[in-house]
Amino acid sequence: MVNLKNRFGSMLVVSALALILVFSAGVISYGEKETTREPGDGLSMLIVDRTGSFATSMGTEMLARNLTDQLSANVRAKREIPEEFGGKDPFDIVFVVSKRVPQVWVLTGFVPYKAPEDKRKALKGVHKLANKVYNREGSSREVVGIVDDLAPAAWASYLSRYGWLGRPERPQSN
Amino acid sequence: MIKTNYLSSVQKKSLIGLLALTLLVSIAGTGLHAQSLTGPEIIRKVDGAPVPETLNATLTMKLVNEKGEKKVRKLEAWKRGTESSVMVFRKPDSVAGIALLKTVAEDGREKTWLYLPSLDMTKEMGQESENRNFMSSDFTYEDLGSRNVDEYTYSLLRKENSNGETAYVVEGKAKDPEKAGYGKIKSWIDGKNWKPKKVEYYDREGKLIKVQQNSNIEKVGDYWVVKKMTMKNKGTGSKTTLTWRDYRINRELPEGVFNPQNLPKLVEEG
Repeated sequence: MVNLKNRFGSMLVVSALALILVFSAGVISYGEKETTREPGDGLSMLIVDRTGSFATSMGTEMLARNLTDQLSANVRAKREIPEEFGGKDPFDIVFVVSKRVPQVWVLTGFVPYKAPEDKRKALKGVHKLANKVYNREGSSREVVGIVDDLAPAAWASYLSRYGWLGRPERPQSN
Repeated sequence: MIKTNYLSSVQKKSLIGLLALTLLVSIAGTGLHAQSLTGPEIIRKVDGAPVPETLNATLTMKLVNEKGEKKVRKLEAWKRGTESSVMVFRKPDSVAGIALLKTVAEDGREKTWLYLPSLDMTKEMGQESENRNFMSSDFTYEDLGSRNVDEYTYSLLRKENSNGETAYVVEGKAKDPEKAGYGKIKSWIDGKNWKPKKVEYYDREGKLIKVQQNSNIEKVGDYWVVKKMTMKNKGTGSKTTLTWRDYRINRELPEGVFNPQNLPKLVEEG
C-alpha cells in the first residue's frame, strides 16, 4: 500500500515536470509567428495586477509611467491573466503582479540569455525599473523572471502558447 | 371675591416656590452636567459634530521620511457628508491623475476604488493591511475620521486648562485589539468645538507609535474644521502634514462624482 502511494506520488511529480517541459519547449523554440511591429518601435508590454492593495497598485501605475517615459514602451493593463487567444500582436513582456505571493513575474516568450543583445538589455532595464517601483515605502515585492522560479516559467509557457507573448525575430541572415 | 383673593395668594406663593425650585434644580443640573461629562459622552459629541452636506477643497500633503527627504503632493477633494469622498492627485506630474474614491454601500460596507490613468484602469481595493494607510502617508483612513467609535471603550482621564481653554483628555481602549486599528488612543479634545487638538496612538502592547497634532481649527460657515494635521510616526521617524485650503461648502458637486465609472472624466476635467 505504501509502495503504491509512493509510486502514485512519483508519477504525479513526473507528470507535472513533463507538462512544464512541454510548455517550456514552446517558449524556447523561436520564430513561428511573425510580429507586425516595425523595428525601432517601443516594446509592447502587458501588466496584469491581480492585487487589491493600494501601495502595490500605486507601484504598478508608476511602473507603467516609467516604462512609457523611459523605454517608450506601449503599455496595456488587465486585472487577470487572459485566457482566450491573444491575437496577432503578442506582447514582448507580460508582468504579473501576484495576489498570493509578494512577487512580480516578468514573463517573456524567450529565455533571456538566448535572446538578441537589444532584448537582453531592454529586459535588464525593465527588471531594474520594476525593482525600483515595487520596493519602496510601504511595499516590498521580489521581481523574478522566467529562469528564476517555476511559477513564472509555467505562466510564460501558458501565455506563449495562447498567443499573448511573442518571441524575438530571428536575426536576418545575409 | 374674597375666596378668589385667598386662593390667588396661596397660588402665588406656591407658584413662586415652584419656580424657584425649578430654577435651582435646573442651574444645579446644568453645572453638574458640565462637570460630569463622561468619556463616551465626549466622544459622542466629537463623532456627532455637524458636518457640511457637501465639500470641495484642495489638500497639500507633505511627506518627510526618516532620512528627512521631502515629498509634496497636491490633491483636490470632494466630499458628501461622512459617507462619500473622492480625491484626485493634481501635482506633481509623477502622480497627477491618480484618483481615490470611497463610498459606503447600502449594507454599510465601505468600498474604495483607485483610478490609475496610465493603465486606464479603475480598481476596487481589497482589505489588505497596507490599505489602512492613506495614500502611503503616516495617516490611516481611521485617523482621518472613518474610525468606528464603537470599537473602543472610553473613559475621561482628566480636564486640562491652559490659556483659558479646556481640553478633555479621553482614553479609548480597544474592545478587540485584534480587530481595532490601535490598542489604545488618547485624545485631547477642545471643549469649545469638540475637535481633537492632539491624539496619541498606542499599539496592542501599549507602546506609543504615533502622535497627531491638529492646528488651525477654524469655523467655516457653520462648521468647525481642522485645517492642518501633522502625524509623527515614533517608530519610523517619518512625518506627514496635511493642509486643507479653498473650502467650498454646501455647493453643488459635479454630477456622478462618486461613481467609479466617472473617475476618468473627473480627472480630465481638472
